[in-house]
Amino acid sequence: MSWIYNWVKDASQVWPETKMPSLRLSDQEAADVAGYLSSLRNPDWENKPLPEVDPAALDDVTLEFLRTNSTDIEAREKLKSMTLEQKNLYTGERLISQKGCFGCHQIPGFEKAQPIGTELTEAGTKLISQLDFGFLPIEHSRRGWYEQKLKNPRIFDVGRVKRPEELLKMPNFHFSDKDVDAITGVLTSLVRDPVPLEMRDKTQPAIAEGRQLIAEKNCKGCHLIEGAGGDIRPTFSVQALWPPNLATEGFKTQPLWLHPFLKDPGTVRLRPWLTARMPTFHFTERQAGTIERYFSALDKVDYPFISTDIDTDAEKLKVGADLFTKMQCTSCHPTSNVLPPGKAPEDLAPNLMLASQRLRPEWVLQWLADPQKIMPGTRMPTFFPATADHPEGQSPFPNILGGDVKAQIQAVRDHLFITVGGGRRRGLSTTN
Amino acid sequence: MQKRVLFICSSILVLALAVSCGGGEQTTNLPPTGPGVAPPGASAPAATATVGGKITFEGTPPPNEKIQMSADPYCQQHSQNPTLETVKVSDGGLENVIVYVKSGMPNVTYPTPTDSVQIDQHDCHYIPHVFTMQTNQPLKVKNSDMTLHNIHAWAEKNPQFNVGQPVQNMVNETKFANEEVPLPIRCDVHKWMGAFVGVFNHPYHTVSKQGGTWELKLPAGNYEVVAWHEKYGVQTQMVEVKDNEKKEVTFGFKADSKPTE
Repeated sequence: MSWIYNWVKDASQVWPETKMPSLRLSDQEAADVAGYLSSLRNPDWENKPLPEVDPAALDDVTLEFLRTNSTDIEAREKLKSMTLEQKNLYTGERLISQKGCFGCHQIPGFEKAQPIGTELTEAGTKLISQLDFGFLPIEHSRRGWYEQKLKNPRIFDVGRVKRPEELLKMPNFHFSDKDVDAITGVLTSLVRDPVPLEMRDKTQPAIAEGRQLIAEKNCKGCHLIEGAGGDIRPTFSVQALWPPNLATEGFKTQPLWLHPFLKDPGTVRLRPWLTARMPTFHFTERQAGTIERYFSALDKVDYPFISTDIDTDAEKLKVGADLFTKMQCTSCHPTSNVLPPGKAPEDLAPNLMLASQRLRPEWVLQWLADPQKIMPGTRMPTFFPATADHPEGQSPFPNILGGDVKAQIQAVRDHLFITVGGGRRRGLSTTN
Repeated sequence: MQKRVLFICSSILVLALAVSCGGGEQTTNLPPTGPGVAPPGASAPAATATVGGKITFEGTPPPNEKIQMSADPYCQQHSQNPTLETVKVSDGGLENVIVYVKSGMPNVTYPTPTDSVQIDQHDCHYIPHVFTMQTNQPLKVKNSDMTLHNIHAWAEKNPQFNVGQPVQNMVNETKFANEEVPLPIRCDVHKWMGAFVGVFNHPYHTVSKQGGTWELKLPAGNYEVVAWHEKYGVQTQMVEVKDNEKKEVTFGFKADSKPTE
């Protein structure tokens, strides 16, 4: 139980390279989780006895390994002098070494061991004569060989006479035909003369790289990304506690806010009154950048340099303040980190004090116009619904700014950014 | 000539439906009646039969959950000892049950009523709490309160409707293009506020009223009639009626019955 406690408290202290994020649990929370996990037991499995060692088989395997660097007589003599434990340790180490377990797993004593697989850096230009087709009646081409290798990696040994340690080692990953095709495509693209950097499309790699990292960190376990994910949602009693839908995240957030947030979500809490929280993934600078580039590329917006200055004037700000009050935004959005009296955590929307540092000004205009369009199902209502007579939306305040929906939305946004959030006005060096 | 007859018929149908929905009070949406029936496939036969009855309720009604309104002083001031309206029993009958024909109705396209149905937000409650309407029929949403409400239709088969209403007595209008029963309506500002609407592409639906009574006017036929309640779920009965016949169908819910899907 103490091991589980340490692990859930901060897994990176136990294993620095782990993918497990830190949930920033309090001591009590970590103890509760450890207690719960320790109660999940499988007695049938726990009572299963270890298999008996077959001494004769162990001797055969040990002798085989000993023979690789000594004569048969020396090997047999050495075997006689070994205890059961020594034989187990020796064959275990040799087997790990032979099968290359350390390629994926971290095993003490193998930190500097070289991976057993073939280098694939230039797999796309490897000479066909260097590929061993064995006795297989398949087409002698790179594609043909890679496909066969991926489908059944050890088949090239068929018909060959080999010692056990000489046999092919790559495991069968049981790839589907689609996977085989995709991996073969990658392998045959690994060529000596790649396409020059300046001729490459930078958007697609940014998206592909982002998707890979997002899959690796299982971001979609909690968040809705590109319309998929959010598996955790059914475990919450109310929608208000769901982790955010990340639709339009690139267009929505400012890079200067998103970067430190990704690095340490504990420092910037949008809704500090919630117990649910985004874990700390200990992203490196590069990883955080990968995610930011991904979201920006998806939404086709500038990254990382954007201007968030607001072009407004005192008159517009006054109108914005009036609309902000009339729309009663603070019924749901607090402007502090304190839970207002009578409100439950799930009643509240994000703290608006952070809007000017966090959101892109253009996104707020679109969000206020029609939140459902950006995030279907959001609790944020539109105040400017489209009607048959007003397809661009109709304001509940026809006497303010002549009922001009665009102008009203802009005034609210300006008030939110400048007066509420302390953002910068274009052309002014200080907040006004 | 045939086109002209059709036009006159459909005008009468629209009028009939308009009358049935008017006045802001939910009554059974009368199916088409009038002189002569349009060619087969164009409109439903006259609804001369009556199916109705009572939704009986057995046992002591469970007390409705009390509401804590202190987060909004306006609501607190205007509602005395507020509770939810989950179970409303009067004269031994269960109110707020949607009763509708699920199958057996004539397979025709029913005209859309032009008169609107209304839901009001009054003293931080929805009025009515349960109602029915037809697809594409206008729904007027009114806020009688001097506080912000957002009316959020948590639709699954229709686009979600979510409009903030910050001004007292303002009215917005919407409609639902697809059948959906039940379609929950909630206010995200005041989480206790909830209503249910049944949206149908035919006029054979109603909501049980005082004493749990309900009535549907139907053409002759063999129907699957469903009663839906927000806590107790659904009950189904088959009923066959002839022209001008009146038949009674009784649904019964018990205080301790488990909800059914």
